[in-house]
Amino acid sequence: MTLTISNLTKTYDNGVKALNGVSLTIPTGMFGLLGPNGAGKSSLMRTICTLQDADTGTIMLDDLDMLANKDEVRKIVGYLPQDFGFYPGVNAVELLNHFALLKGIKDSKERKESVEYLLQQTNLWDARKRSVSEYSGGMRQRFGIAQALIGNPKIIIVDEPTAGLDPTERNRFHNLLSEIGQDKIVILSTHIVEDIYNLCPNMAVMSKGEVKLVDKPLAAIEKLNGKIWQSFIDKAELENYKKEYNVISNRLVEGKLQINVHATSQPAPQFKAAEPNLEDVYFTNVTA
Amino acid sequence: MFSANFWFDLKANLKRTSTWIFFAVFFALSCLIIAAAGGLIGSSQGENNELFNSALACAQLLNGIVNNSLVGTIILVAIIAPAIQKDFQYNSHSIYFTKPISKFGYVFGRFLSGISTALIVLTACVLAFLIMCNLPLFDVGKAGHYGLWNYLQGFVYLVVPNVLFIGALFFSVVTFTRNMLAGYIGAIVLLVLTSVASDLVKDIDNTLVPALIDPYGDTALEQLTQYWSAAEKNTLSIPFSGVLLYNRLLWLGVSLLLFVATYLRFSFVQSAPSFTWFKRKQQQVVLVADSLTQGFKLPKVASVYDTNLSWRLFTSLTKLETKNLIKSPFFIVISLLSAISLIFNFVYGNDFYGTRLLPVTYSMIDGITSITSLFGIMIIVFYAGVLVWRERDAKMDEIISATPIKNWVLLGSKIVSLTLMYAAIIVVAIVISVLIQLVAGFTDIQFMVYIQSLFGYNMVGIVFIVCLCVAVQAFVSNRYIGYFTCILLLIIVPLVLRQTDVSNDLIKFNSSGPRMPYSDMNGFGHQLFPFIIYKTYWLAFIVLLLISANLLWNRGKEKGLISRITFAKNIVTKTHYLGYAIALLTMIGLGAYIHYTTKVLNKYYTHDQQDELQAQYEQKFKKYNTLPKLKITDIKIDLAIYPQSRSATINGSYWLKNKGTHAVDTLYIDYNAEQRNPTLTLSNGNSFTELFADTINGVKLLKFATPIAVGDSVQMNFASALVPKGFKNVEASTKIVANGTFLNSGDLYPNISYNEDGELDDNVKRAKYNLKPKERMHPATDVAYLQTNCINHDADWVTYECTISTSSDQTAISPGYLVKKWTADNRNYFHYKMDKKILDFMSFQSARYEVKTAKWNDVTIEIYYDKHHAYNVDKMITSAQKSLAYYTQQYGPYQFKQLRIQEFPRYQTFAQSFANTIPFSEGIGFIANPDFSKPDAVDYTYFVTAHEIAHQWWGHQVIGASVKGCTVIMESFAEYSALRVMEKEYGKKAMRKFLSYELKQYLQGRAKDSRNEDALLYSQGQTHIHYQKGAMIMFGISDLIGEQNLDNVLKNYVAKVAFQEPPYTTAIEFEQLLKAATPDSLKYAIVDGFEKITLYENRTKDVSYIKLANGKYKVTVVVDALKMYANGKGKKTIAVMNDYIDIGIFAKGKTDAEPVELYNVKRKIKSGINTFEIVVDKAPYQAGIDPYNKLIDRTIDDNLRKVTDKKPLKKIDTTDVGDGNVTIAL
Repeated sequence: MTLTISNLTKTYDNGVKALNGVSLTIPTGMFGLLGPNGAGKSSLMRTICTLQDADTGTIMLDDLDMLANKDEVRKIVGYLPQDFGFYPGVNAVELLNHFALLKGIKDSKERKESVEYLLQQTNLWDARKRSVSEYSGGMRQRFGIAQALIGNPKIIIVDEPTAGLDPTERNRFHNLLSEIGQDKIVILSTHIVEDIYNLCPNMAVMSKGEVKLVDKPLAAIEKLNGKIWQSFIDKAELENYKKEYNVISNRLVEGKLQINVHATSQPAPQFKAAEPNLEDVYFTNVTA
Repeated sequence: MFSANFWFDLKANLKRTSTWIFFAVFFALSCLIIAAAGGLIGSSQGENNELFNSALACAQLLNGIVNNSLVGTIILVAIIAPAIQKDFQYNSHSIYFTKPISKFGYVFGRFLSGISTALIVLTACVLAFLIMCNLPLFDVGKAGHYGLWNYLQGFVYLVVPNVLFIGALFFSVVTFTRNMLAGYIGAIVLLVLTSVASDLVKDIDNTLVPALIDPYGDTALEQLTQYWSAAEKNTLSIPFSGVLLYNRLLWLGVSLLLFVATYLRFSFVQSAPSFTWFKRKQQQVVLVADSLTQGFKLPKVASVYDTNLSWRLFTSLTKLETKNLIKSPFFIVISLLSAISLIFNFVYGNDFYGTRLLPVTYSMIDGITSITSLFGIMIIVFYAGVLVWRERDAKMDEIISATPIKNWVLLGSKIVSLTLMYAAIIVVAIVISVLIQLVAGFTDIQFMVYIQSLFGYNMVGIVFIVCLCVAVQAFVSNRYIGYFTCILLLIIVPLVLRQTDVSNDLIKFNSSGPRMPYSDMNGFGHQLFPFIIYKTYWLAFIVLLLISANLLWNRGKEKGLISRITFAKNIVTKTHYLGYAIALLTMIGLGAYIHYTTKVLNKYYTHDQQDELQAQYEQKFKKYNTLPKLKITDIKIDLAIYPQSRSATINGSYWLKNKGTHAVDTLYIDYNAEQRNPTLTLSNGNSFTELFADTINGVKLLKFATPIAVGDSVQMNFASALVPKGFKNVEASTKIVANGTFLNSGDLYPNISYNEDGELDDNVKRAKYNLKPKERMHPATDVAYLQTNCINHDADWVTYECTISTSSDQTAISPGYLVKKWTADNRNYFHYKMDKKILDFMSFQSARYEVKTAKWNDVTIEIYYDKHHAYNVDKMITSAQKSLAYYTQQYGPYQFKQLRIQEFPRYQTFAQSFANTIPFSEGIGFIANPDFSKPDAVDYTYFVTAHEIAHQWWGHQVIGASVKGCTVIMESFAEYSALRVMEKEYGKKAMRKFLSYELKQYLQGRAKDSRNEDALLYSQGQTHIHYQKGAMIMFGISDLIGEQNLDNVLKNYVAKVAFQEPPYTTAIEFEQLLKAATPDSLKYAIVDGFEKITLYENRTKDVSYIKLANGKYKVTVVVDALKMYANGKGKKTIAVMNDYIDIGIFAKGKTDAEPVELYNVKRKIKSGINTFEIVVDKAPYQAGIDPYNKLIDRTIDDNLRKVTDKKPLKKIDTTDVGDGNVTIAL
């Protein structure tokens, strides 16, 4: 099962180019979409989920033209949007049961099993009688995941799912995703580099509507070996450094400003070679 | 701090586009309304002495636009209410609240900037009025030339305080709930509450309460100005005093309290105070995060996506939505409100003369529909927005849209659940209504009628409105544009259509064809067929809308309509196109059929077309009015009524006599549309040729082969068939129906002369068609018109005989005595014959009747009634017996041996007197249920029966010439006679109630009448003059000269003029007889009453008493009297006064309403201050002038005064100029 996106373009009414010639090939398993806010991650995911039309381009799932067969697509995707909520005053069991029905599970026994299993797996079993709209942020997020998973979809699209989750919940969620990622396409968007590193065998970096990089995380890091240089500098000098060197990121370490520079050889004596990580991959592609 | 907050926020508000859109909306709305008021748009307006742009008229229009309209209130809420809530909405509250700002500066600054913005927006109305009225747009004499202050008065006195009130209320609601929705719902609830409250208290006599509780001041203003004449309305400023002032102060106070409460309770905290309708115990669940999940495996499931699944989803979504709706506080509030309104409606509702009807099922249904239609549309408009946007509001639209659910499932479930909610409100209302019926001891509950009316006829239209609103919300990209579109389509467009005189039902959304009210006699009548046709036509339209809504359903993030149309192109299928085609063809087909039946088979005209036809009629045919005429002397009718097919055939014959001085060689024939060109033939060897025939106006001119010589007669036969063809545009034909046919001679007989009543009588309209101005009636000096009576110009007194047949289950009735009755061909035949000559004015009725018979002396009394309506039959019989007895004794013998009353369906609500035959509507006397525990209840079944029987004398014995004042002889005398019969039965107390009704109705009638007022003697058919004022004047004169003296004058008058041949009598002749019987000192009252428009402003200034040594009480009464004469336009001049008016003193009775009379004597009163010292036996409680309100006095509550001080005033107030007339009486 392969999802092939070719040359996808979308321009909004206000002139913003949300997607600009996006082409991706996504195999079975977890696929990470990395990019800053406004990179076009959500637009891409919504287009896959039938919520948006593209101006040009195609999305194919093997032989299925996903843009032309929306009804078919809806039967096989599970989607967790970035910003979502639920009907007020409906409890978790009822609501998840409703989603199960929406996903076409007509058999009430199967529906009950799925609902109970997912509520347990998302650790919502004890809160199942409570209204979902009154859930805390983390619980609501877990419920969102449960609804995305119900009905055993072939493609699961989750848009920044771990935002607002505490570390334990995030862990749990990662486990869950990696378990189901065995035989499905799971597309995960995030701006947390670590998530991708932990979970995704394949990833893409997007910025300003374009795909900047498609690779495996480790391979991408490998390619940066010996190209990342680090130095502590004075805060006032940052602008100068930026002019002079390819500064991809800066951060404070113990109150001092540390910059990472991308260069094929040591740019200056004060720079020390640094072990590249996925963050550097990300910044290298986004800042460029 | 305050000013910084205020100015910053005001500037921000004024920069907002929406502020100026609201400004534009108000400006446009005001322009439209003022254009309509001034007659620029809409059907042409008639004569009106009132200027449409007076200060009062503008103030009322302004309040209507701003406060008493949903649009106005919603906009105000939108502007003012979010002053603080917006900080929460945009999450800027945490920024603001952590700044060192004062609470006062923040709250007050924001509130005041909201109010100021609203007032700036509302100046659009004043501006629009000012600009429109100063442009040369309006006809001369319609608009007055006024300055700015004229237009500003309403703004300052009404709008500013009202904006403060609405602002404070919703600012408070929204600030605490932090939810604009609560504000909008509140606005609807407030609107419903105020209209329900004003409905409920409108009949309460206590004028202070209704004036005060109306938060907008309309009622108070109405009370202060209700009796204003045209001249006063045009010139006076708004009286900012009295109840209006109190009302304004009260509501300003309420606004201040609301604001202070908001201010005190407001605190700079993060979260909204929790507020739930039903407190529910929340279970705290402590969650423990467990370790890593192992072996997670999604359960294998079988997913099936078929139609069956869609239906399952549809049901489950409908359940979910309906549950949500019915649990919402708004639903509960609306249900409670409708329940309360129904109960109040039942307890306090008045129908006629303080009397309510029995709680028959159809009157309960009328109550339910009037209450639910009030807020039904609002609920639907509002909730369609809530439902369609629910997924987006809950932010779950993306999740739902990515599931394979079909659009129609979402669309359908929303339509059905909204309909179910409406149905639930109706069910609640029905339950309450049935309970009311049972509590009232009324057990004839017609459940099927409830179901058929409310869930049959009414629900179809409701479903269509639901579909329209849901579809609109599905199309638009902004909910508020959706709301606006719905209100535009459902409220504003119909208003505009009505204003612009567009009457074609084909373009009025959701029209139902000709509707008929439910009648116990005739059930739902024959409305079902056109109803189905029209509703199918609209169903097709709805289908078009729904298919489009289904295709364009907002699914995903493509928000714009254009992108959704592109989106829809991918999913449109052949089935959709087929649906469009079928619906479109259905609309075209049925539309063509409706057009054919309403426009080709039948005719309908707009008001302007009607005017034009009337003008043409006069221009073309008036010249024939001067031709020598014949008069009808004998009438013989053969009428067959076919109730099932709602048709009839008539064969009649007239004997026409030349009573004039010239031979007659032509005959002018005038017939109405229903008669469909009657066939006319002559007997006795004579014949005629047609000179011309005009089928549009129904006129033809015939030339006799042999002219009719003076004194000769000719027999003319006429035949026509009245067969309904299809149905009409709006109006249902209710004359011939399955049960309860009621026709009169005007419907069946051709006229033989030009009909002046068919002329256009409004002088403004006449001018438009170049017709000379005319008065409604001719003066008594026009001797030509003394030759005809005011009932029928074609005949004087005629012989009458009639054979009338109907279906085998019905009885048919026409004036005369039943000579023979037989059955043939399974039909009932009745032969009626009159043994005396009567007026050419007959009724024909047929229905399934029960009959009750009684006797008065030799006269047989028969009541023909529907089997459901036996309630008041005995009362009618008693009234008939007492009336016959009293009138015979006072005025002379009854001319017939029989008297009949027959019920007819409530398509019309009146009773009418024909010779020995009185049709009486089921909607009034038959189901009246006077509650005599209420102080103002009048037994009007008894009264109306007495009134109609009095017409057997006043009308059927004495008939006036067709000149001004002729209705005095008919209606004023009948009203006065009936009053006397009432007095015999119910005593003087009932009379007082009755007269106070008459007074109020006369004063309101004259204030509302847009044309010149006439004195009683010259009245031209104005009901408030000939009924109400006539009764007051007659009663007042009988009180002055003595009842028997007046009745003797009436008796002599009957003796002199009854059954007279032309020239006919006039009211002037009666007045002369009356004057002759009146002492000179009292003749002023006759002149004032009959010849002038006389108004009194009497009041009691002071009442005090001293206890005398002999144990009696000396009471000093100081009264201020004023008499005025008004001209036709209402301009008053002060009259010299030397009148006899009651001075009364009363002791405390059991209740305030029933004081005990100690003294009531007519005293001579002059203008100004009059002081009387009167000794009475008991301690006085109140005293004053004209305590029984016998005179026409615009303020009657100052006539009596309670005794306040035990000492008499030492000196009379010297500032009052007046010749004190001090008399001592013992």
